[in-house]
Amino acid sequence: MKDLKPIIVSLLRAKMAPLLLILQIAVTFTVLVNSVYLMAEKHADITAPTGLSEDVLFSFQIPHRGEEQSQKIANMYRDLESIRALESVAQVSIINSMPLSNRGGGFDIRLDPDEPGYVTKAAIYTGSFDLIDTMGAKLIAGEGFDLVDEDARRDFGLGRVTGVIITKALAQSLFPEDWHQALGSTIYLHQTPHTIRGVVEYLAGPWSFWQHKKNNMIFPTIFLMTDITFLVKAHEGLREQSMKDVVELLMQDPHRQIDELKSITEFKEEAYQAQNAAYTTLQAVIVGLVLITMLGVFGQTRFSVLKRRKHIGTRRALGASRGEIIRYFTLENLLLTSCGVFIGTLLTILANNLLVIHLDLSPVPFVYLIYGCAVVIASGFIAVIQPALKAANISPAEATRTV
Amino acid sequence: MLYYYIKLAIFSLTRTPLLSFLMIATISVGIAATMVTYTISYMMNKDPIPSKSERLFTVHLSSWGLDNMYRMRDGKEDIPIFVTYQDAINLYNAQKASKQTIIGSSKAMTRSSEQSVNEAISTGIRSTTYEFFDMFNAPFLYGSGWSASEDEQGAQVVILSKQRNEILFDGQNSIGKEVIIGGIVHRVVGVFDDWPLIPRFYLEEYDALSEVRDMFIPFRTQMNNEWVASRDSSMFCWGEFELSDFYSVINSECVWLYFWIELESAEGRSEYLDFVNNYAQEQRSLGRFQREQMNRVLNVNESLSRNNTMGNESKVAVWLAAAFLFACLLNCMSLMMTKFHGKGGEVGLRRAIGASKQDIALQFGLETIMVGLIGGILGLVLANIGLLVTAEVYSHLNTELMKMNMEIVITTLLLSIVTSTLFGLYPIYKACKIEPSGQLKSL
Repeated sequence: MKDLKPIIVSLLRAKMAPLLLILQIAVTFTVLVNSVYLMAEKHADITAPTGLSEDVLFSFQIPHRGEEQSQKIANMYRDLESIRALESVAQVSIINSMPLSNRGGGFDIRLDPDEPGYVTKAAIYTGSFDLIDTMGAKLIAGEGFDLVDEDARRDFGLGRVTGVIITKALAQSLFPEDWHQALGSTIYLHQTPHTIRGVVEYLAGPWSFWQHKKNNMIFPTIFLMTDITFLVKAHEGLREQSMKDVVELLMQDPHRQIDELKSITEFKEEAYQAQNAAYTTLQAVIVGLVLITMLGVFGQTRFSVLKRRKHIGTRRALGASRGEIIRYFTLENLLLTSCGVFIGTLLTILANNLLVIHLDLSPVPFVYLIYGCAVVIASGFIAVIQPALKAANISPAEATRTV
Repeated sequence: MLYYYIKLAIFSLTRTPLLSFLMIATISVGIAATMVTYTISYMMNKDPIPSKSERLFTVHLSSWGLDNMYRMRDGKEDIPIFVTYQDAINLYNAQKASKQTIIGSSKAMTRSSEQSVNEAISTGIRSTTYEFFDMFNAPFLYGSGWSASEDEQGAQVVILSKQRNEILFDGQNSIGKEVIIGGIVHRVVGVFDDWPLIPRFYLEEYDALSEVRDMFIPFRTQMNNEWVASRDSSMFCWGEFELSDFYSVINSECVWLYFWIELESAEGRSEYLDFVNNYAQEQRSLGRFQREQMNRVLNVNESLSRNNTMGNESKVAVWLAAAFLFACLLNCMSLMMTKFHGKGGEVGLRRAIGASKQDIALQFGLETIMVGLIGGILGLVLANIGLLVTAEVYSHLNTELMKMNMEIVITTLLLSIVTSTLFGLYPIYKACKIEPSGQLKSL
């Protein structure tokens, strides 16, 4: 460590050049940590479990057929039966709106009907009694619905006493101390009470950008709207085949319309398009930043080697080994990057506070700062190798030239 | 003299190609990153309709029930951006603004009359009144909007988007041709030209960056045909309603229609708000509008910033890119110091044979400006490549967002030159301070 003193003295004498590098590293560090954090958040968002059997599900819409309501319902059940009978189809249910489709409905939820505000909001899925099975959602508490709970009607059937199945995330926001309390408790949608009958582990909501997207409820009411949405679960590996089979089956009547025939994978891709794009952009920013910093360290060290050719020659002539020269420059670099990282940490905290206040982002966890330090110091180290080796190669004879 | 300095600058740049390349490359990368994000954010944030943005207003009403608050926003009660059918019709019929329009939506299977039933495709339809086209400066390729009388009768007329006209009629003038919407024959009266309205401010947030809808029909026609609103548009309800029943929806408190007005001048707003509040009082005496009244009349830019159409992401991106540019410039500054330091001998010689400090400053200043200019031009090229890539990656956004206009091109070049000169000042100052005697000794 006896090198440290001359390094500090020489850095203090040069002032501007090392200061520039420190500043550059500080700025890089700030941007790096914030963008890695944003990226990690996006990644978590994109890869969050949907609770759906993503590889085998698809859905489509068809308009109701028939004049009278009873006729419409009969036709709907007939279609359901004939689709279920297809060989490639494992299961089929009716659903009001698809997860991740950006279309759906929701309610405010209260635990006390006379409460003026609400505890949280949640989206609803409503349809066939076996909807949870078809989706592939995993029931982790309570029980699912039975055939007797199912009904097809023209309204949401808010007053029906069937109970409701909710996601674990919703249970957690209703009962933050212990979500298990949710089972058997009563929630109120508008003024109507519903008993929580089961809890599913995960289930993606209809809107990928909604802040309450993990809060979802399931009801066993087939809600008759202008079109019917069928959710089909194909046998493993047969989704393409199954989509073709369904079209073929329904188009036996050429006057039918099939709309929005899409696999859940497509829904997911479209829903997360913006997040995916942002993710790619952030990656580019991070790579660019690290490269520019390395370039900066590289240029700066080369510059100081160039300036100090004579000093290095003299030191070599006085008996310093190559290793000592290399150590000198790497140590100098380490000192600079550490200063940069230190200032960068302060800047990051400052910038992050601004982001949190003005743009509603969540604060960067401390561990990101540590990772950031490691990356910046490591890339600085890589960049310094070549100029340091070059410095070590300066011959002692240099000292005697053109003084 | 200037010419001589320029020659010197070029000579100096070509003499240390690696260093010059690194300087120009860092500047151009930084400039490109900044300009890509800035372009997108600029295009998103620019006033979509500068000639009228102060005179176009949207009306929001406090029509929610006593026990049903619409929603909380930033800790305060908020009212919907849509109005009910009955309020839209009442406000429209009052004709209190110089122009007013109702904007709704629907969805149906559509085809041209020459196509077979099987070729019909499901189409999102915009329903509105005849004033819409004039209010929002809609550009027409063929024909024009429908007339007031066609509006009143609910005539079966349709306006096509340019894209849909390409698909159905090969881009020919299709005025008078027939399009079948939901089984009913509609006559084409107009075809839009490209209409890059960004953001599409008359719609809600998530729709605002989309292309114009493929078909427009009179609102009255939609009502006559009892077509309910399409499910891809928003509807918020309270009270008694059955979504599948057309009459139930239009008589309910469901909000789903946009209501926009155009006034003679921006000053007319308070008068119109008074009218709206009076209307609300009237409705209150009829038993509706029981909540505290917080009706609003918002102009284009107010409505956009309320909807937060831009999202925070583009703002964060610009800040990240600006910080990135700053890092690049610092890097470039280090490189310049290296470069000018290496030229100590040359400075010494020039100073010894009579060049003043100002001359040296001018010489190096020109060199810096040149680096900035080349960096800027290269940055511009890189930024355009970047925008192409971005358009590819962000394929869900309107491609009009990814285009630079002249203003941005000039800004880019200026930004590059100004920032690189600014960051070159210190290295130049250092170079000017070089004493000739010390340098000449070592030559």
